[in-house]
Amino acid sequence: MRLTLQPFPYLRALAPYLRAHRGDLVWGTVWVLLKSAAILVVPWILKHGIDRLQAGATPRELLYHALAIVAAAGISGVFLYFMRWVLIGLSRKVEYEVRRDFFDHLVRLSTPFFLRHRTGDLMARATNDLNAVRDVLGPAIMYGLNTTVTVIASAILMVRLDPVLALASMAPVPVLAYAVARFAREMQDRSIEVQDEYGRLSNAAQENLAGMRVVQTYGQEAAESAHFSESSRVYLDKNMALVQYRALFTSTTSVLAGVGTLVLLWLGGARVIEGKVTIGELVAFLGYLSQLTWPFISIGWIISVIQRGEAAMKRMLEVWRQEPEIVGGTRTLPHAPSRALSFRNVSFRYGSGPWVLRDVDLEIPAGSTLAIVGRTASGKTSLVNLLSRLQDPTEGRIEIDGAPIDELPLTHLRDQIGMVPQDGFLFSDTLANNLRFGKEDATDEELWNALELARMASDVRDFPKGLETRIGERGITLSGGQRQRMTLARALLREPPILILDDALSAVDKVTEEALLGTIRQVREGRTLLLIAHRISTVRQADRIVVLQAGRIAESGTHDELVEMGGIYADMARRQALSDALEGDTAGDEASAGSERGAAGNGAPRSSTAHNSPSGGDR
Amino acid sequence: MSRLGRPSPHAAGEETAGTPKLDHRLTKRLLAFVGPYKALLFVSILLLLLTSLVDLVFPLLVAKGIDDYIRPGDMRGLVHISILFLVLLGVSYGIRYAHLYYTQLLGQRVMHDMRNEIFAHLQRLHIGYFDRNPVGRVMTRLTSDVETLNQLFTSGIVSIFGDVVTLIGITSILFYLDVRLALVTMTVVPLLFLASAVFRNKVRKAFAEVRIQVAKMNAFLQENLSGISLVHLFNREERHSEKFDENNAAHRDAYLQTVFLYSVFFPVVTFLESGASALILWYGGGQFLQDAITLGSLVAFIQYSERFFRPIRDLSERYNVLQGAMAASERIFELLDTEPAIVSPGTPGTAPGPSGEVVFDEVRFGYVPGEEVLRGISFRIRPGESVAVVGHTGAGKTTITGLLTRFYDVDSGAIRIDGLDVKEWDLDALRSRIGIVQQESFLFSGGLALNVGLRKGLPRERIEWALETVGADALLSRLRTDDSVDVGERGNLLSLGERQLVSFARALAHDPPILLLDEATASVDTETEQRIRRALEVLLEGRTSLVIAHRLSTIRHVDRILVLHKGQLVEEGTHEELLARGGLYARYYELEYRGQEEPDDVHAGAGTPS
Repeated sequence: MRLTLQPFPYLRALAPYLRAHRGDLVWGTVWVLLKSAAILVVPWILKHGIDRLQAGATPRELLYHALAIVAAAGISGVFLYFMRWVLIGLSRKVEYEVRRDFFDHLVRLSTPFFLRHRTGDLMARATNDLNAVRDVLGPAIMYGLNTTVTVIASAILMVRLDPVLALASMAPVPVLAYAVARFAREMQDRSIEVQDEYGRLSNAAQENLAGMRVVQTYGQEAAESAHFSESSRVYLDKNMALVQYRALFTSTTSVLAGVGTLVLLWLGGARVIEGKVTIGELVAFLGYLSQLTWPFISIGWIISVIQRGEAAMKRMLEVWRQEPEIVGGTRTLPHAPSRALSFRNVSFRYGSGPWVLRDVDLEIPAGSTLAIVGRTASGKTSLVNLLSRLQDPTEGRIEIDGAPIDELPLTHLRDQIGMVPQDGFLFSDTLANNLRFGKEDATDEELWNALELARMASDVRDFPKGLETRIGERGITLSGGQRQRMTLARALLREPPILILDDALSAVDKVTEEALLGTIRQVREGRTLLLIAHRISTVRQADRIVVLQAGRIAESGTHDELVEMGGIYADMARRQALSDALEGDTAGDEASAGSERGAAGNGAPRSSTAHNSPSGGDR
Repeated sequence: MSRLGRPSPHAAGEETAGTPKLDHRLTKRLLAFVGPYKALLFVSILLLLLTSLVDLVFPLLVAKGIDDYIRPGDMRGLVHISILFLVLLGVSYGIRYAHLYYTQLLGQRVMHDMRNEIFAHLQRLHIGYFDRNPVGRVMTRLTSDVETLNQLFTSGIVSIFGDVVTLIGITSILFYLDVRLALVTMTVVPLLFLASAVFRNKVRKAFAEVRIQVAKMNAFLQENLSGISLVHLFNREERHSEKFDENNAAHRDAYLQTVFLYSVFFPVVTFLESGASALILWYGGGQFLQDAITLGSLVAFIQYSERFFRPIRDLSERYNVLQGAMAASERIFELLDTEPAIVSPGTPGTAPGPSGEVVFDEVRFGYVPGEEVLRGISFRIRPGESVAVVGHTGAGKTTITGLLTRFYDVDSGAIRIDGLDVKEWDLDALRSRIGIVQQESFLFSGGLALNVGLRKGLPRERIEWALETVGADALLSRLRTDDSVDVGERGNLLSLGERQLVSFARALAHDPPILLLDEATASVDTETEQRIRRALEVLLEGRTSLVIAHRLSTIRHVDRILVLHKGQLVEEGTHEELLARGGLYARYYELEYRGQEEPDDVHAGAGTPS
């Protein structure tokens, strides 16, 4: 095979895991040996019994033979149990360890990595690919050992009985080896073609489903079905091309055992007639041959499992060999209730894409409130992502209380920040656990306090199980507004020196929003607050307002100064005032109705998971 | 061999985690798919029977060889029987190959049909279904569930026939050879069935637990990978690793339980098998000594008893595969049982009115019961007239287009096209009268001809003409030089503006009497915007058209403007009339006009898309 030069280029990465379980491996091998020894005794006893029969054995002698068979089988059964339990169990244990380490590694990789890889793809590596690898560790190792031992032992025993007959009945082995080598390669090529076609078929279906509105509007249903049917047909043909070989392979391997029997009958029979072999020995040969059938058949299977395992391991290693791109330093800041921040000539872009942020210079004194406004994709969210080092700036640097943020340990830096992201992402766990997300040891009283501040307490009280209500449990779904208030409570609970609201109140109505902002200002008096918002009413009281446009700071000042200046901000303010006037008295009413529907999308609810997207917004 | 850890679909959280029973209703429906291939099924089963039967003959030949030729020392007879053996072996080879091939062919054909049926059914389903069911989940039905189902054919239905035949065949032969020895040998069978029954029962429970753990683990992975940045922001890496560890360990333990069961089951079967051999040697040996049985028969008994146990063991192992397939078929049929909520009437009416007329009559509609988006809308668009709908975000503008094309049905009131209620139209006929250009232009991966002409096979000249007419010059020359170039998934290799032009060309090429235009909200550069505006003029000319406007600047050339506010029609008239009235539209206009150099900023951000 191709693996000769460097055996298992990828699977060898599992060596440390196997080494840790070498006891199991050794014992597994011992069990395989013992089991094979015990089971191979059976044909021998049969042989002996039959030979004795012809010599006219006593019934008692027969009974002993029968009991010997039962005993041998019983013993081999016990060994067989240990063999399976140890070796297959080993694969499950290693699978567990590999998956654990894989996840530990994955969870430490940085945001840029997750922007490059889709969730589905990573999931596939942690599940499907790992399954393929596990098949190598368990069944393939077990059957491999078993086949080796059985073939060698049977060969020795058969040669001892009669070398000529042994060689003759093993004649199919080279044929089998050739068939395996010849077919395995061809089958692999064809099965790759099947996989590729499967991918194409899936893509075709996926695209059709995503574009269903176009399909139905233009009455394309029948044409699409016909087209899909064609792809489906091609897939069928490729499958059948594989089946041709697979069927040939399978029938060849199973007929080879028959060839062995034929040789025994013909040649063996002749040797019995010549008096060189006893009938009992012939029966024993038949017994050995039947025990070899399965190991022979499994050779092809083992090879294909290893090939699949190699490919899967390669995909896992692609993730595994990835180092976290963002790592922390060692410097720690003295404890302080609030922090000052400064952005020094910060620019940021993804790879060599267009600039998302350009030359941002910003001083945020400790305890002050900074508001950031700007249209969609102006770089607002990127700015706060840089601060918590979800991303690193391409140029320039960011300081916290005078210390460059990359000199702090990541956990220390992130402990300084309470982030309320725009998507209201909560985990499917109890409300209490979701709140404790940021502060493991918070008491129930603290939780209620935070909920109270976030105006969420009465909602939670209304749930049948209160704090212990599980999100996502039957019937319990939170509205967009409730989710946002939950995430706000989660951040407030941490009492962080810096609080960031990233458009975090968009789904709560105006009245509630203003009340919430009032509360936040009150309880967080003297601590730093970063506020990303669209509504003028949200930002007007900030100490300073920064207007971002295409990644640059276009305007900066207090509300009054900016309105005076008559630029972008002033225009926004005027238009919003008009817009508010249009909404009339019922404005609050509509906003809240909108917010309750908000999570599912207003006009056409597309996907119920929309609000769970990790990275909506400004990218 | 262990096929326990079949690849599980990613979104396992929503998969059936319980234990489906092999029930008759499902089997019946599955068999309906086999119906068209009765001949193939017949051939597969026949071939299988032949394989099983031929396989049964070999030990008999060995027995005969030993008794009649080897023991008496008849070399000629031995050669003859060996040649017979060889011939039968050749036959068996051929039959086995044919059997494997045709069984797979049957499975593949059935899968092919099933995929096509699911796909065609999906085409008929109403849009509301796709709103509720994410594409990923629907895809699973079409792909991996169907694949799983295949196992039902390849290792299920057909093989079970084979197993049963082998069992009956062996039993008959054993009884034929020696009734008493057969009876003695069979004493282990009840034990074996008992062991299998206990095993099946336990393994079913164990796999139910496995499925639950797999679903849990996948759900955990899915959620944590989606929310990874929160995990980072709140320094939860370690805590989540611990939590995952719990899941992971439970997953391992659930599987270890199945490993344990199999580890016990196999030795038990092997032991019983050897028990049978021991009985044969002991009892049969006694018989032989009394000359009640031949040595050859004794050897044949031993060989048959080995073959006898294999199918019983296989049946137990196959059980889990069958269960998985049953669960998959349950999900598939659930999808196939979802009736399209919106279908053509049994006898479509004929349109009495003038061609191109659109009437909304007191239309009320909400996506969710109790949350009306349209609250009693009435208007009429005359043939050839172009009308724009404006209104604040969330006013219900886009909903109007969905109702017109019958993606959704009105809750009350009626919509009439050419004088006929849309519910009385044949769906195809209705939609072929309406061209729609959506906010987000959806392109299929493939060439431009495909995207403009779709799969209707429009003549090439028409496609070229359409692209030319909308002013997509660059695209047109690309089409002419080399249309094998892919536009990418959803058209992502084209710019936003180009995608718009393609979808305009698409509408134009299909030449519908009524055009719905849901204006794109995304901003494009000025040059493209001008191009799009020119294309729009061509498109609207001579057609009844309804423009959903998100910017007022583009609609000054329409005949009439409807102003929608919170699901109700509040103003109606020409641009000038509405300006003169000084109502809502006038104020919108003021907003828009002054903010033209920075269009749509505040709205896009502050509200939800309409």
